[in-house]
Amino acid sequence: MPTAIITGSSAGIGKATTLKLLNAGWRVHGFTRQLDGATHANYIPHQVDVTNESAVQNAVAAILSKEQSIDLLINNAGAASMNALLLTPGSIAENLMRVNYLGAFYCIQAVGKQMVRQRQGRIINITTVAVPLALEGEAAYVASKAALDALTRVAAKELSPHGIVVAGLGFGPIPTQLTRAVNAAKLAELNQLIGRTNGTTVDEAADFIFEAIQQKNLEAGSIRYLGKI
Amino acid sequence: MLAVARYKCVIPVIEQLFLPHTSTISLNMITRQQSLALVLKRLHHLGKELEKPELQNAQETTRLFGDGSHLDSMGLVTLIADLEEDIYRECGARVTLADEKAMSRLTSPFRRVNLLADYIHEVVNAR
Repeated sequence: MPTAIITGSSAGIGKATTLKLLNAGWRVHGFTRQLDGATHANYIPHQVDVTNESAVQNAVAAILSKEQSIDLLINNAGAASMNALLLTPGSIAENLMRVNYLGAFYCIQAVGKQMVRQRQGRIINITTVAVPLALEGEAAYVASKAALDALTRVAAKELSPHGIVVAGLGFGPIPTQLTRAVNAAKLAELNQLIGRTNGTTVDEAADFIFEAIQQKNLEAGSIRYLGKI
Repeated sequence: MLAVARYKCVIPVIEQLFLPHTSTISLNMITRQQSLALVLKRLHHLGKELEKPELQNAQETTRLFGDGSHLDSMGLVTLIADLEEDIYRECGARVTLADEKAMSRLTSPFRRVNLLADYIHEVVNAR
């Protein structure tokens, strides 16, 4: 049975992707800040703050004490904040960088070593169209996701020789907790811009991720978007 | 002898290959000889995989990284990742070899086999 770790598995894209993998016969270890009580024979939730390096390492070690391999890591956990650059508190910018970039960094390090030992694996980093569009009003968020994109590209180069494919998948606004505070007109404008006038649902995003996971020729270092970019 | 007597964690295969007749090793500790044996055994396997006889026949003075070494960065990553798992399997200790302490040393523990063996011995026993 293939085994995956998904961060931010208790809600939004992470939850929808977890369900798709479970239905396809995967075992999924979910990293969540708060255990949500979700039950499935092949879903194992772990209470992990991905910004805590030790917590990530301990959780991966616990998983490896029971699993032979980890075939897939999806760095989905994320945070967002929409503020004008000059009005963004430094603490918010710092938190976004911790969650969106460092959280993925720690998970890649912890899981990547196991994948090196296996000489195979896949790592998917969830990103956003806000980076290539350089969306105004989202400077701190865009910068943190741009850091993640850079990490994706470098990790792909470093880990490809070990048989590990690292890629990014990006989305426009999706109705989740991250976008609940964003002005509806702004969301509509952005969706129009990327050719998705009806927006993107969590299920559509999960389908996009699931298709990428199944692709044998998923290009290492590629960052693909659901929408016209 | 007292120190050896406290040891519980057995490394049978490695003992046969490299170690004098010792019995058991502490669950949380490792001898310098055993850490060296771990490194040499792993290099032997890696040398086979990479088809590099210099690694298969590595000795304490064999350079691992830097000028005159036989490992590139990919090989070093593989060696460290595999060794961390070896340490866990043999001694039950989850350690990170490429930590801040290792990176801040004037002489990198990843430069030569003997330095890496010293470092593993130190890290495992310091937990």
